[in-house]
Amino acid sequence: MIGYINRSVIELPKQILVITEKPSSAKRLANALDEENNPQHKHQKNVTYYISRYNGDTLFIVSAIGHLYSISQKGRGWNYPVFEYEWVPSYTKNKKKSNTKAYIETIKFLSKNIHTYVSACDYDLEGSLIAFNILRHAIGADCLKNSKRMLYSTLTKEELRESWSNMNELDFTVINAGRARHEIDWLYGINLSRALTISVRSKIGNRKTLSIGRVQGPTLNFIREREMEIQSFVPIPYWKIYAESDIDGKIYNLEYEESTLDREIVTREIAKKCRGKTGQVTSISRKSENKQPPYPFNLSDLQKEAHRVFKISPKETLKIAEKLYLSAYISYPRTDSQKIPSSIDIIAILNKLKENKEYSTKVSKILESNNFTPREGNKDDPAHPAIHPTGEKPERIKGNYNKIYDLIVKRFLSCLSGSAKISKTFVKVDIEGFTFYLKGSQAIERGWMNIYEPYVREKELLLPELEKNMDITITKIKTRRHYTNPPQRFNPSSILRYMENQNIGTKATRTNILDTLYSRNYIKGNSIRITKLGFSIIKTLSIFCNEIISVEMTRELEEKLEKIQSGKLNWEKAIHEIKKELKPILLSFKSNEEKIGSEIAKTILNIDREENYLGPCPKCKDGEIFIRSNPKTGKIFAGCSNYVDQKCDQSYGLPQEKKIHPTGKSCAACGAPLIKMYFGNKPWRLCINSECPNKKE
Amino acid sequence: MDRCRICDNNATSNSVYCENHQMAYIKIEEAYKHWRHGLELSWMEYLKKICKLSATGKWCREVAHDILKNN
Repeated sequence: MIGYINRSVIELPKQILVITEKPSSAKRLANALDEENNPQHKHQKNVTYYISRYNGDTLFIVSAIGHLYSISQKGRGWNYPVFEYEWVPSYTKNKKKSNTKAYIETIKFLSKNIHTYVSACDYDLEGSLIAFNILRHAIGADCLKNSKRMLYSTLTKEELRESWSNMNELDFTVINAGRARHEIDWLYGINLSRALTISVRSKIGNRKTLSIGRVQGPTLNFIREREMEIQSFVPIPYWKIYAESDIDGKIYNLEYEESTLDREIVTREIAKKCRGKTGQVTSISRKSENKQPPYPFNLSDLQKEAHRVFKISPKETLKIAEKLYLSAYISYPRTDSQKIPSSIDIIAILNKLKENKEYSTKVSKILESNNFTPREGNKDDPAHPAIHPTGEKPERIKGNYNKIYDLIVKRFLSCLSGSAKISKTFVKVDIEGFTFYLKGSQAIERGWMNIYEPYVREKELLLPELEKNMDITITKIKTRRHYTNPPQRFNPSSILRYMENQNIGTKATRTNILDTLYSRNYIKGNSIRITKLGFSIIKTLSIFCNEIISVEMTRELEEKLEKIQSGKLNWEKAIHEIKKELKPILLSFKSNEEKIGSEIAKTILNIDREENYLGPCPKCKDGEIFIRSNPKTGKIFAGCSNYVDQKCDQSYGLPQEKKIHPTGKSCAACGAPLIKMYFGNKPWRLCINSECPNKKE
Repeated sequence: MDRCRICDNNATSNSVYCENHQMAYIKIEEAYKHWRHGLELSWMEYLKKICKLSATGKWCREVAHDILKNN
């Protein structure tokens, strides 16, 4: 008997369009989902996409390259305030984003006859927004009701298939939080940066574009405040007394009971009384301390540890971690979490890691211990667990990639290991009525410290066998004057951590904000110093428009954004409120525009003079020759300052390849300025006048 | 408005220094209490000492030099 076929129950083959955030994740997803592990590679406008077959369905898997859409002002004009905006294809507004056009067109091409659309971008605010904008703008808002969201934290085949089988609806609270964050940052950034740039234009023309934003301002202010503390720091002297003892032919250091003394005369008096005397052990006490394993890494802990251990910058660490994630060696790195949830199959990861001979001994110990509950910190992330290895064996990873991978694996293994037990010994020694201490430390059980080697900080100091009333030979008593130190300058790692502690920016935006401060020449160096320009901007804004650099305002905004993300605040209402709050700030800026511009322009002109002034003009005599660049070609030349008033047309061509250093001196033969250039370490002076009589000779 | 004796920026009211150098001057005065207690130094000896220390901030060193030069 031929059975009745209920077509509404039987699933028909479907065509599904899957959008990932990066090309490498599209490839990995296509391989993971294709039943024969051999997806078709296709090309459209130089964009690779994949066709995979899974459960009878045809999947078209295509990637974006980050954001394909960005915010742009509605209408024309370059002024402020600007409150009207729209999302547009990034290539229409930014030449550097011209490569995004091919991706948008490929996605449009693939979107015909599609049954379901899947957002498979990274599971975070940015990923959700990237896919949402593509769906809404490239394909059309109608497709949103047929769209799903894949959630995954690693790019392993198992997790990707698991995620495919358990897709969710689109995560609109996350999408809206992403939209709100971008739109708020844009509103602040565009208005404040334009205000700042316009304020100096009447004084210096179009020579300099300035920027400031709701996170840039407070961050630059942190750096300024730190610099002010350093520049106004006076070291205070203090003294320490050190004793050296000889026990069984070995030298041990003793510390005086008061770790620091504040008077030199008292210090010397104590040292004088103790010198040449014998000490006596008056008591011995021991205590053992449990040293818990460290937490698994979140992004900022990983960046901090990589900087401590390898001196790798946070930006480089993030870049490496993302590459390791895209190769499916580790989980998603942009996470705040210090937790490994129970849904993660720790035993499976350990079994895979055991195959790697680098870790097999360590992993075997953990598997034998049968303890698979990791130590966890308090910080959590709703989207992703702490950074952990997937167990996939890395192929041919070298240098810093290998270092970061090893650090992540050992940290993960450490948090599954037992505590270390440290025995601390305090030996009280009396020298002429003054108390000194001999301190020892020894690991009784090394626990996780064995696993985390060579990255453990703890140092051991073994003491000899000692007894109460035993005499100790004191071989040396030293006093030393020390001075208090100023606070350290921020480095890229410590400023990111400071921003996180102050709750400004997000893990995705902080690194870019720091990059902007560098590229605008507001800060410089690895040990971060604020430049004259950065200092002038913050100082001026603190006088005339303090809200812009206030951390409180930024923190309040962050709290609003967190409320949007948790669904407690309507994002459109929040943006409306923020526009209302921004208006008086911009009005106050406008009323002080002249004063703000004058202060900052003065600094810019001073810096310009320091860097570009070559000497007096030999032609008109009252003008000055400066290094200038042609705005169209970008080529540099030297020209007279009187050119602006059409009083003098003196100009000189300059070498383009080497950095030019002004000397402040003029050529004896023709009066044109002399410049200095370096070839290797060798300086070379030359006259910039190609017609110089000296050159003709 | 008067100019700072060190850097030529605007001086703060009732001072020969700008805001930054005035702040440095106050810090120098505060730190002197500790130095006098620890080393029994005169004010001028103290200024000479802090000028030589690498940890002394630039503004403080400039102020100390300025006081030494003008006394």
